[in-house]
Amino acid sequence: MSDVTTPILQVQDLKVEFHTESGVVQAVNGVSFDLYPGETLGIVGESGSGKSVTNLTLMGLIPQPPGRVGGGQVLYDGRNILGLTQRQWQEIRGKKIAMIFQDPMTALNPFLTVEEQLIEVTMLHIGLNRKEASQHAIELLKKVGIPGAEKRIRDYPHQFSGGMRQRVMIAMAISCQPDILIADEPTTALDVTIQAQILELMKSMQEEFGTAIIFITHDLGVVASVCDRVMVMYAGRKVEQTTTKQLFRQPRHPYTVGLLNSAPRWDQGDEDLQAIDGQPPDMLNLPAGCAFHPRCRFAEDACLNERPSLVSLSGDSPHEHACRLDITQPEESSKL
Amino acid sequence: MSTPLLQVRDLKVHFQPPRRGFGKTPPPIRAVDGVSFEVEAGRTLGLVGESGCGKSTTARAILNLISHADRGGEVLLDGVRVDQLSESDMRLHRSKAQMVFQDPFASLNPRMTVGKIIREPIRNFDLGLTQRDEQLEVIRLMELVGINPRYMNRYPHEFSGGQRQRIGIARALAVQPKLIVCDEAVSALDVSIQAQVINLLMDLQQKLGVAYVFISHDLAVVRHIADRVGVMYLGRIVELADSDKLYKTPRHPYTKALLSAAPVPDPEQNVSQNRVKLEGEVPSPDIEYAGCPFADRCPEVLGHCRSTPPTLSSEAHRVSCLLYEDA
Repeated sequence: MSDVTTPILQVQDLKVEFHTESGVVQAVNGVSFDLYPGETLGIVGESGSGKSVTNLTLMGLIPQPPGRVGGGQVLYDGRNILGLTQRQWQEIRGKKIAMIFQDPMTALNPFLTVEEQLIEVTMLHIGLNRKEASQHAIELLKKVGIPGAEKRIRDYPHQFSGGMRQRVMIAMAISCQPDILIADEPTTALDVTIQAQILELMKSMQEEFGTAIIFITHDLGVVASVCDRVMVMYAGRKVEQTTTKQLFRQPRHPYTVGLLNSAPRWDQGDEDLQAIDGQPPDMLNLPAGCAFHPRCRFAEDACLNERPSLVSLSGDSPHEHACRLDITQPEESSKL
Repeated sequence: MSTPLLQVRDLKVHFQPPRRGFGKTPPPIRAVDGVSFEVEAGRTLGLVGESGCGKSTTARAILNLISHADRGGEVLLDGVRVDQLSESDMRLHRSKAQMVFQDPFASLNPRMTVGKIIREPIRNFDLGLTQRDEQLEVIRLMELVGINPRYMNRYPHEFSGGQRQRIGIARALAVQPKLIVCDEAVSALDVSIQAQVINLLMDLQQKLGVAYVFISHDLAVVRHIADRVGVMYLGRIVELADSDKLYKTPRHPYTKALLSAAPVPDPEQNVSQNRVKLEGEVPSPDIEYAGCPFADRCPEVLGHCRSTPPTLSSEAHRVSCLLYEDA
């Protein structure tokens, strides 16, 4: 799917830093990626790896201060949206680029009915009048599978279950048919059977509207089932990116290998889990050289001093990785 | 065969919501509704199910943390009816069963050093150690869970989530319990760290022979750690079997649906998977069912499922479903 047309979003050398009392945290440090229409790009990484900050930047939602966009650009429709004024942002946010958050209870306003929250978006962005917006909202709720939409639209968020609230959030996000949908751990708080329903709903919405989705998650099972391509982040940098199939079949960064080997599978129970040693990095005090070297079982002397640059391999599945070593050959046997 | 370490017989926990004004008394919430299982010494029982299925309430009932008024059935720990113990007798008994909680941020006192946190249960249960021996014991426990004892005087906020969970495990081990109840103990951790803690729990079991009741919504994690697994739905166990059997040949339609909804980290696998789709959501637990509580969502429902209650069969692979009962 990724070889079609031109990217709808181009992120180039994005840098975002936070000024804290203890020092400057480089939350995102030179991340670049393209997003194509109709595809789902997964972003995986540990807490603090910069995946959520990257996406809040795309929505113009980084609080400044303490945050600061330190460099790079984000091209949407050919123009750099990082320099937009608040007024210009409002033309894009919610209309062209929409977001689904992890926790629908805190993302929805508890004091407003679902109707009031849904019509606000379309009245503002598409200029519908109250009645049209209301009608539109009911159709959206039906589309996302909320039974009795005509009645439920007058309910408050707390009257919905977790799964239903997430459906309301999706309805809100797609109400202006955005080009890009950013989903930040949208199913993490849900039970598996409800998660399956929501993932299916997102897929069918994508097919209908051709939306490009950025899917942030830590769940490799979810990545495998919904993403076309995957970007792996570690300590604020992209360390690997390729198609989902390629990533699972032949990971090229030791961190990715570690992630895949440490994820338990319910369909295979007999192998030992191979955890990644050590702790996630201290973002205030990153190790020199490759940030992953203290936890890497392949690390050599050079990894301690030289930060590896991103290498691109072209082919059927373009593959980028930031590691000095070729870990695919000799170590194949130790990978399960 | 020796008697099991933990025996739970027909455990029921019904919470009575308060009456509102002069209205009718609302029906009780049947959080746990007739659960029975056993855990052998040194083994692990996993309990899986979706939110609200009663798995955490079961955990609290095992540790006698549920008011007597709400509870029925029997809980035998090491041959003693813990559900009948008085507060003071239970205190002595608590050293036999400990708990590790989900949130490593909320379950450690932020004003106590790690050394104090681990030492507290040793003092509480008066294990008769001198101050020096106490100190040595804390060092031993910290080493056991993989935390450098040099950090004894640090506070919880100076540790990462995975390390805090290790501290919580050290605290649980301090009184040398025979059983540890882990309620979503690895759910808040990143995958790479989660694997470290799972491996640690399994190592500790090998070394110390402690038994676990391991509660989680994550089917994959439970498969890795548990010898036997119980699947819960609406306060009941619907299937209970050896881990391998349950995951390879699930019998209850709910177990099948749960497994097929859980994505596998393998893109080639997911495409070919035949999904058993479940419509709707788990109903409210305040309803008393004449038949099987799962009948309304069951893809394999039979004519008499809504009227005839299923019973948990008694073979090794136990299932509570009319599909497997002779009419």
